[in-house]
Amino acid sequence: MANILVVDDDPDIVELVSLKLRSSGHEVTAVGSGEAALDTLATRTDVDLAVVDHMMPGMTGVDLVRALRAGGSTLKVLMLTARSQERDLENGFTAGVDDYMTKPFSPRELAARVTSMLSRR
Amino acid sequence: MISLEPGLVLTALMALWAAIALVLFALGIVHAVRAARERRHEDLASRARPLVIRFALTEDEDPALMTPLREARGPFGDQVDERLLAVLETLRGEARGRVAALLVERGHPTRLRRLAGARRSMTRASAIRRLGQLALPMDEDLVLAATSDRSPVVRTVAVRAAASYPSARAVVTVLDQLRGRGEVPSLVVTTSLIGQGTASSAALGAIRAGLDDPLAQVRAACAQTLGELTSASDADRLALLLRRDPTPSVQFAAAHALARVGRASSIPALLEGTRSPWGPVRTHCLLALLALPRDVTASAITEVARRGDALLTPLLPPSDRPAGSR
Repeated sequence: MANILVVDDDPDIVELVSLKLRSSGHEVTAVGSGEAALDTLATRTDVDLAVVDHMMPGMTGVDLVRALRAGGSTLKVLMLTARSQERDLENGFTAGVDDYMTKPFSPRELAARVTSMLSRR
Repeated sequence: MISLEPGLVLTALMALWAAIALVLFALGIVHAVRAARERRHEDLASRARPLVIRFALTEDEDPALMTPLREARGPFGDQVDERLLAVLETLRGEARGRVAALLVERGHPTRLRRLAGARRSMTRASAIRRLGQLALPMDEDLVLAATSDRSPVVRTVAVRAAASYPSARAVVTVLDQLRGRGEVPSLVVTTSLIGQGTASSAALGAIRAGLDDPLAQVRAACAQTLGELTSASDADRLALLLRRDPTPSVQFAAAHALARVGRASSIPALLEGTRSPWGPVRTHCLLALLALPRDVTASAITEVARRGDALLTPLLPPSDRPAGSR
């Protein structure tokens, strides 16, 4: 079991990802923006992995990852994106994203990727 | 001269204040009604959302979950359909199939087909967009027919929705937009083609065939799409297009695409393109050359540098620029 932070402004996706990860035995905390994620991570050190949406109003997923890495965070980040273009993936990986999933996605695959990322601790 | 009696002025002022108070009261009512409607909408959404998500993720049929979803009618039923469509966009695999099947069972596609013939263009557009989300094979004709709707909004939505039907016929229908009145943005056309080309080889074949179309806009859109699909197997087709096509906009699209999918065999066409009389073609041919590995492009880059083209020289790496222009 791990502590996972879900960051997405779409309540349907938050609910979907949270429920799937909870049913896989994880503890899930959800926030609706990059700014709220930074606030949460500033006070919590027990988060093992973050599932972050790429496109959010205000701070995007990539902005969030850049801010985390600039602060020295080694938190594992799985990014959800509707964009599958090479350029966007490259930008994300350069910023410090550990893995990507492109929407639409299979919930089973999401859970499997999270498990795989956590096993690489 | 008109003399203003104090009584008349007072009456006029009172009437003015009464009118302002009435307008403010009416605005307050409108605001309150809107806020109440939004609260009701959010309340229904927050009741429907967990049910829909649990259903999407549950592999075994649970009657306690299925019954309220199957039987939901009225505003709550509409909200259940909204949430099912929202998660449908996010899911693929078995979960997507389950959600689509429930929407069919609830009769949603039948309602959408009826609405696709509505008088209001926004209603038709919304119905076509949702039919595209559902992507039921039986609706392909309806969605493709909507690309010739009388409203440009509906046509644009239908071209987007056509991305859900990756067939040669759908590609041809989408490309036909470029032959018409030009009211569907070319970006929408290309995005739809990318969706189709990604999903099926038949659609990809039709996009490749578009490189030989008599209309330059179609050839350019197909070249751009093949570049976005980043299939290196199209590099030689695009290089041939760059060399032979007489239209600068098509040459530009081919050069731009080669910056993404080019390979060593593309170098002669790209080098030739750096001599084009048209600036954007020259610059994109050079950018495509620079995107290739240095060990295969060294002599081509040297040749471009030797020519001292004022447009291209600033794009070269400093070490390749002629002395004096570094």
